[in-house]
Amino acid sequence: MAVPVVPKSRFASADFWSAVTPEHLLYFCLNVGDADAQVLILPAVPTGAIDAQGRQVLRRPVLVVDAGASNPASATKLRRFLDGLPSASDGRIPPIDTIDVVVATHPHSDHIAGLPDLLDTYDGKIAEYWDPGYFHPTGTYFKIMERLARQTGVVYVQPTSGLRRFIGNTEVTVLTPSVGLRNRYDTYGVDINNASISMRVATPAGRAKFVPGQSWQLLDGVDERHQFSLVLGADSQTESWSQALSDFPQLVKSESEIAKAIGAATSDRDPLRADVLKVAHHGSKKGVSYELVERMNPAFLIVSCAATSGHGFPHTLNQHILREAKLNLAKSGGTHRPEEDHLRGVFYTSQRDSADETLGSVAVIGSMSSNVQLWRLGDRPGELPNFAKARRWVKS
Amino acid sequence: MDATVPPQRVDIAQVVGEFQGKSPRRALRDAEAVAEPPSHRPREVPAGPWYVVIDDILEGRVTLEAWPWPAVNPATGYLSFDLALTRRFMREAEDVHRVVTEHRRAHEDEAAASRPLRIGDVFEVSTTDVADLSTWTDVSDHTREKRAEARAALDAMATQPLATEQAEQLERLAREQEPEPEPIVQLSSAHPAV
Repeated sequence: MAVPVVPKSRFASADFWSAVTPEHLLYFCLNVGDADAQVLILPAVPTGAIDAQGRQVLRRPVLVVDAGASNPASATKLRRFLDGLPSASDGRIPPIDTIDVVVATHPHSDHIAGLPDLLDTYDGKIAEYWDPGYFHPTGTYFKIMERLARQTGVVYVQPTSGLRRFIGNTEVTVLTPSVGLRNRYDTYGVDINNASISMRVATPAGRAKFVPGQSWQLLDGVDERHQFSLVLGADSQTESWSQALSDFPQLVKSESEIAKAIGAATSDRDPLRADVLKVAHHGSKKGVSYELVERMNPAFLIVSCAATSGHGFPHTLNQHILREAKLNLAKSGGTHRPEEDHLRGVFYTSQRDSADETLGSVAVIGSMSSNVQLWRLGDRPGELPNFAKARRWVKS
Repeated sequence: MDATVPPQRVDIAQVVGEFQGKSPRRALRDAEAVAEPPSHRPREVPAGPWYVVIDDILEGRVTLEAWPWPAVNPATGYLSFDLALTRRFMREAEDVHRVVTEHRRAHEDEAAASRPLRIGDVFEVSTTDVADLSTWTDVSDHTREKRAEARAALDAMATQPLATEQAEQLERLAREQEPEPEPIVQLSSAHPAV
């Protein structure tokens, strides 16, 4: 239940935007209490236009995954954050003329409360809107349907596991809900959290290189282990994750001929591997399983939760699962000593440092699996992230 | 306010006719802009009942969301809620169930009175303070029609609105079709919808 503090000495003040290049994927998990509001600024892609200096004009695709709030003060936070990004980044992020995908993972207000405002502000600028098709008779849900109906050109999608969407050099793979789960569920009386859309986002998606005079060739030995990848867990519960573990099996090395053949075709891949896991359901005891975290093996685990949670998030059981999965107790024969959460890569949006300063929203910068950076932006739930206060976490 | 009246649906052809040369969605947007009050309208809580939804049930606690009872926006056909007046609160499931059951019995709805609370239940509540269960003087269950309206709202958003004639043809076809026999085997583990 307790959200641990992080020693102030573990942070280095630096200029956030100086660390960013066009190849980086930027992930922002905003501090909105027991709620989710996430923005992904994807690696730059050419628009096809040429500027006055003869250079390709680039744009940054944008994904919004939930715009929730646990109180009215933070309901517009994500929208205001997007509005302010061009000036906050000193022009490194151009004004957002298109949001490529808005994902409403499920229709709980702690995930969708800010969407009517976002849809109003970015009317006509949203290319795709994804939700799980779980209709819910709340005022916010009706308002979103009304707002979407009047949008021009938005593509509405109800994805299930296995859908893969390429955006520039980034691939988005939907992990949950499984199609089996979705087809079994009515939307009345059942656990709405299990309708959640969770997804894996990975870059670079490209595996082919162009060799002049030859056909396209696959990069030698490159697979998903070399990508920068995030799994965004929404509020999926263990029932839904159990189906994801089945839908995305880990194929391990074996000496059998069949296994060798499969391994050759799949590069011994684990399709759930992730550098970053946004832990499902604000650290609820049903939000993760040990096996899931072990397979993803993330360097960073981010829990979006309030300092004082009405539901008691993060649950102690969840914290123990995250800690033990990162300790590899069995592998070490029990010799590993317990470490603080931040040394295991576990962070909470409601966290404070040892000087009692708010750590706030989490930002992650990555382009390939090496050198993934985690930053904190110093904001409370009702405030915008403050890049002037940005601090980078350093392990040692 | 008569909750048994079905939602008013927009005649898309009429709307398009009023906004000639525009796409139906653009026409709907423009029509709504005319119909919707300005955003700086006062936020006093209007007199009348509240629309209360069971948003979540977790470990014996119920998360409830409430708004002043919505009107239908005649230009768009969608229920229109004043989100600035959203109330969100958690209560013990046992307490909410007791109050709801008392009122279901008072309305002589014995079938509903035996139902447990479920995510997606909708109640019309007369009260002076919606977050205080002890002030709920009357509660009536609107789950069935409000869920149907939510389903219709999703359908209307996701699909091209049917022309009036085609809608009438489909309804006529459905009326003429023989009813399906009762299923012998329960194929779904999901709870039955109301």
